[in-house]
Amino acid sequence: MDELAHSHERELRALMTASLDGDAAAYHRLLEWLTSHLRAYYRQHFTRIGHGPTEAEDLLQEALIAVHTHRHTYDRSQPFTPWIYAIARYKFLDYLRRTKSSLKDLPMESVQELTAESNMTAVDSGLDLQRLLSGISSKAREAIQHVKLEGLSVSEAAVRSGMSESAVKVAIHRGLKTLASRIRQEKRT
Amino acid sequence: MNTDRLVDLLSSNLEPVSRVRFGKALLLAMLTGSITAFTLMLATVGPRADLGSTAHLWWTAVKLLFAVSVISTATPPLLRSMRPGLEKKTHPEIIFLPFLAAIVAALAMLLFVPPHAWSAMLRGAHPVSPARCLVCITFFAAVPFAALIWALRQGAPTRLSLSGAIAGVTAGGLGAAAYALACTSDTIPFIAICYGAAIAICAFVGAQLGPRLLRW
Repeated sequence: MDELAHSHERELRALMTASLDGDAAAYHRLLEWLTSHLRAYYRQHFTRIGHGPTEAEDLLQEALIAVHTHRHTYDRSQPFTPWIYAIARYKFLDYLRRTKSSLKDLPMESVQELTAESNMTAVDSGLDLQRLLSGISSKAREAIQHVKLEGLSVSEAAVRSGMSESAVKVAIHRGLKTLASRIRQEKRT
Repeated sequence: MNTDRLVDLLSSNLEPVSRVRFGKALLLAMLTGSITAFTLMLATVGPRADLGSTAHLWWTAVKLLFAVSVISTATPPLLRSMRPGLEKKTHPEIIFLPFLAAIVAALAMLLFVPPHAWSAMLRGAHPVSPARCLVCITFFAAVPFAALIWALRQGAPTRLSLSGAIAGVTAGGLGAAAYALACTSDTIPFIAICYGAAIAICAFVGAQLGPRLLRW
């Protein structure tokens, strides 16, 4: 790993650890960093397989949801960059598999690719959040709507929907996982 | 959809995540798997009738030792495969060690007997022994395999064929442990070849099913 990746590593790891402890601001910053770097990473690879920036943005969003729903797999005693790179790489290979595209030799670990500076302009993905949400269970949709979109606290959402707090949390987690699998299905060509 | 909006969505009302120990899930799967495999063995072929004698008990111990060494070399890479980013630190090659040791021991045993006795050593107690061994071990491995896949799905494996294959080896090891109590073929070459082949079949099936069962 080069100097740049090293300095990022310390910062990202601190953000990730804070995120796992429930620090939403740290998590927001982490996801913003990931957004710009994963965007650059996927766009670069997508040009190599002849796919456009909209598809790259779809995969970026899918990867962000995957990072979110699998954040418990990060071991705080391990470096962060290999973890995120393994997920980004896995999602790209999974995309290749299901769209039957091919690309030779994607190295196992080239952290530099991810940490390279990137300032690409955002494009909207081809995904429609409302349509995706309509495909999941009403309980999960309601929970995501309340907590994640309207910004209600988990306890407020629990009162409104008549569910227990833990049921709301479970519904959100399951709903996001279903959302991710919906995206995968939609993107199968 | 705008990605910034997704980032807002994911980070709003963030819940803290407690430390997970995947070892627990894996251990639970292996326990459930081995209890099922053992029960299936009792319900179908049953333990060998002559298990009481010291010599037969010793042979059963040798077979169990092989099965346990397969399980214990496969478990650490399996556990590591549940967390992304540990790929470079994982060395699944150690899984070959018990098989290599068994084959070396088998070759050594064959050198000690005249060539006309080889076929009896390789075949085991009865002409049907190799087939019975293959069928039983793979059959007993099915439930442990399903349980291990369930455990793996709690994590985020990134090399699905490899993880599936290692799950297959572990399940095969558990199936072999259950079959060890029923098996009447008491030769090292038989253990090396038939047990080895049965576990290799489990690994192959696992590698084929991994990408389908483990994707996320």
